[in-house]
Amino acid sequence: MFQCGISSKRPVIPVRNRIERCSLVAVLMLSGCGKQISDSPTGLPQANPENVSSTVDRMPAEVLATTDKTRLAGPDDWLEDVTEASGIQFSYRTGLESRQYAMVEELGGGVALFDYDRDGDLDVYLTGGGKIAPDQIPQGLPGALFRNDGDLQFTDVTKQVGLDQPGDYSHGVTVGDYDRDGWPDLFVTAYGRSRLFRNLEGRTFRDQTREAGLDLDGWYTSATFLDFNNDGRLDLYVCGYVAWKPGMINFFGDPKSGRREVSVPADVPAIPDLLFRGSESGRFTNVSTAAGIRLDGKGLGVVAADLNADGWIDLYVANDIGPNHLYLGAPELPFREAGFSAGVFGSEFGIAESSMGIDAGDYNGDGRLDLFVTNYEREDNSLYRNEGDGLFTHRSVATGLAGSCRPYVGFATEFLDLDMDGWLDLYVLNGHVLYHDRQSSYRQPALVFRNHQGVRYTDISARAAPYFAVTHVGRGAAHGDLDNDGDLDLILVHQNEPVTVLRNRRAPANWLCLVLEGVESNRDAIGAVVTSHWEGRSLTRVIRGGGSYLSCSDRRILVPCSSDVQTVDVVWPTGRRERFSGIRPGQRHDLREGNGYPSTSAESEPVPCESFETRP
Amino acid sequence: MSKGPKSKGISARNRENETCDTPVQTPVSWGRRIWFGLRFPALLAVGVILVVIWIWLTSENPNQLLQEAKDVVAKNPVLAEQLLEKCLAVRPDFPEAQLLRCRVLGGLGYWEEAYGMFQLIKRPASLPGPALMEFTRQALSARQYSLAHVVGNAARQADSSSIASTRLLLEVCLQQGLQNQSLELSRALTTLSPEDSFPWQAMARIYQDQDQPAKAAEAYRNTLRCQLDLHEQQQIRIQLTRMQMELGEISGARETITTLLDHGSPTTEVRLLEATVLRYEGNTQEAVQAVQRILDEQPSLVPAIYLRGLIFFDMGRLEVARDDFLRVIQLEPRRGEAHYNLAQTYQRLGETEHAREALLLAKKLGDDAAGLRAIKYRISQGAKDAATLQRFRELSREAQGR
Repeated sequence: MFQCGISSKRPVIPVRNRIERCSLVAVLMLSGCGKQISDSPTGLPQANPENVSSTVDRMPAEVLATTDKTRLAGPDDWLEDVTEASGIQFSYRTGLESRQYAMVEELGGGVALFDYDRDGDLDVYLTGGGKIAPDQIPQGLPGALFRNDGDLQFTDVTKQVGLDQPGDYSHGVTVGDYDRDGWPDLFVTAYGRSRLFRNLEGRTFRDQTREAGLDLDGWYTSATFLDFNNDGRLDLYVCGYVAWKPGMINFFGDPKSGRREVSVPADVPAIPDLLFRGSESGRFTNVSTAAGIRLDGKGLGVVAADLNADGWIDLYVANDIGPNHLYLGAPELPFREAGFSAGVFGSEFGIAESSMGIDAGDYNGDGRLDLFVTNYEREDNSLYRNEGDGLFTHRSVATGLAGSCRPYVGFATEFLDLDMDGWLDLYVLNGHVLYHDRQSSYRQPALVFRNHQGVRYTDISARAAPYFAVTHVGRGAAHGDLDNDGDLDLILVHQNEPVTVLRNRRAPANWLCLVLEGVESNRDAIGAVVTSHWEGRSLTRVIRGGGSYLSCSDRRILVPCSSDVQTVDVVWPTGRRERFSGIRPGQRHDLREGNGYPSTSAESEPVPCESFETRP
Repeated sequence: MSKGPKSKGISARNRENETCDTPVQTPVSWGRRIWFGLRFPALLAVGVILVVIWIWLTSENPNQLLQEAKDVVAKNPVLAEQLLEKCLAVRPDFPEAQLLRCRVLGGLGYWEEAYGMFQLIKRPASLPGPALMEFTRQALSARQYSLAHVVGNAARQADSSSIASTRLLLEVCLQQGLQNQSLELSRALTTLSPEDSFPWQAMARIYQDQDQPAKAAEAYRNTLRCQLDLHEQQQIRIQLTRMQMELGEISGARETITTLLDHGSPTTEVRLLEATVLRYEGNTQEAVQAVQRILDEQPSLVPAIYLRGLIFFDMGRLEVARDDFLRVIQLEPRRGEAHYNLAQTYQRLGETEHAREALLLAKKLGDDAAGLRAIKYRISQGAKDAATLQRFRELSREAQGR
């Protein structure tokens, strides 16, 4: 992060960046234009060109400063920027241009990839953020829902589905079918009132927050649905950040020069994370105390998965300025917090760090779920290898991940098999929270790491895509196969800058797309483990809740395979083990709990089965 | 109007004559009369003339005194000081003499007086630059940094384009710990004298102190572009490698360390850095061998034992890793990260009770370290309130106590 901020020389602005700036300027025009919001066809205000220059003048120079070195797209690039063609034109807004320097400006926004209308392709929801009124009062702006019309063409349907109400200053989003009606619902976190939107058969979304008993008022960031008690009903975990109020810190910055800065949350007390138990009626009950949720975490990221393979879902929470928490699930509440003893609370030196993004995945192919967390600058991002028995070891140095992330403030990250070689790669979005940090620039490059057979990671950002040669202020991100071609595409969210859609160009010759549907288990099958076989090894993939940062990726399992008919093993959240065979590659397959053949272990002989639903 | 005094004078003389002449009753000559009449004014005039002549003969010329003082200052500074005192008594506003007196007073150890005297100089910048620089160096070597700063500033004001005066003032500011001014002067000096390594080194040092490794590394790289002898180059490269490691620039660190290893026999510090780089590169076997070679020579070198423990842990050689961490703790009981890694090792070895004990200690030490780091960061971001500084002092004291 630092290298790019050293140079005081202002480089020539590359064309790509100029375009981005123009877009940024356009987006910045939105502030304070309430009338325009409603007039816009997308529910979003239109830029007034007359005000462009004045808006730019009001922007802190550091925000516009860049040290980008653009490069042209190459034939070997892993990813291709298709933002412009996709029709997804949207920026998360922080209210930076008001120069109120409110703390809420720091966190950013997220994205969810889900099939809201169940037409078979992934749609995109983006949180809107907000603007800052005088006296640092945050005001919300609406998010946006883009319907996937196929061939990577998206249409803004925000108004059409009733998601165009601004609400409060939003940050994160998560998806889950909490009412088990088969239609995925949305939960949007915010500074102020977080909201639950019930999906009414893909036609519209209705705000059910109050009815569901989720009337939160505070500053909430990431959230995830999970089923901690395996009752088949989705529960909800919401990360609480800090008890900041407008005007709480009147001035933060350099008193000598008078240069202001967004204040840091170090001195602001945390607000506790919340755990809600879902019920058949669709109402949630706050069980945080009974669950033993700690009061001291400034939560920013959460992932839910059965990390110790005991059949009960666990939660791993990334906290800012403090130790990360690992809540180990059990048949009865409370969870057991074991971050420290499991070795996942901080650095390899045993020191707590400032963590943001988070994910769980089996990076080394040993069948156990490992953890990855992004941290603040001067802290290595942490890769924790699962050693079994609830123990993890810090493997950032040993796997080559230490160092290259250290200059940056890391946010969204995910384990995903970008090149479809069966090994989980990693991407990390970076971007500073401070506009004028002394050590590094506000805009920072995102990184991609290739997994070499579960032993080493190498930074391949330079050849991943031109996007990675340009600096951004990255925050949320999510992955999913947007074009249903068998590889994982990305949508990346930035601060006050258009989101980027990256199409993956590494589609394998043969692949499996598996959609799991729980029957006894929760319908989203959060917590299910899928094992497939390829080239003599087992690929373990998990349907985890949460992950990344403020975002929610698609929950479909996508793995490479041979051209033969395939067999996969599924361990459902309830513990039921099933085997599905006869799966043809290159298609999407819906695996419904109970439709497979029971299996006692992953090693049992495959039983042919044609009972699952297959969709081309 | 002119008549009055005249007539009054005549009548007075008449009365005087009457008084003198009456008892003697002798005729008085005109010459005698004149003598008697003018003897007092004449004597007065003579006296005045004599006094003037005496003063002229006995009084000193300030320039001459200054010259005399200059002549004797090396052999007899006390006499020089007396001469300068006289000189300044005659001509108090005499900058050259004032400056020399400051230097003499300083030489005699009267630095407070020297400081006071220098403050009396009305336009110190009008003095010759070399003399001011000479005095700056004198004050600097006597560790009179405040005075050196004032004089050095005057020297630089006398000629702002002077490389020597800028460099000298930078030396003073560095000694005083005035980081902002030092950075400013360093930047000015890099423009005035691009080949000089000193300002780059100064900048690097300051950035390192300010915990800004990226800027420090950049300054060290610029230092290496200047003319340096081999020893200096090695020292700079060692610091550069440290900064690169801090920044996570592993390939850059490898490049620097390779250059270091190519030049002469590497020090223990360099070899330890190389082992660390090897570990980060994933060459664990080579890293272990590199550390082992160091430990063969210095078996109790704590950083080397700790590093070997980490590498063994990476390799899954848990028993030897445990032994190394235990040895580190034996030598440095308050090294938190060793306790933490020992706990991790114990856990993987299944020794949970030992692990718990080690974890608790690591947590205590780690919390303190994290607290100190957080406060340092806040201070670096501009927080200078009393409570923050107080807490920083407390935690620093605790850390030093380790």
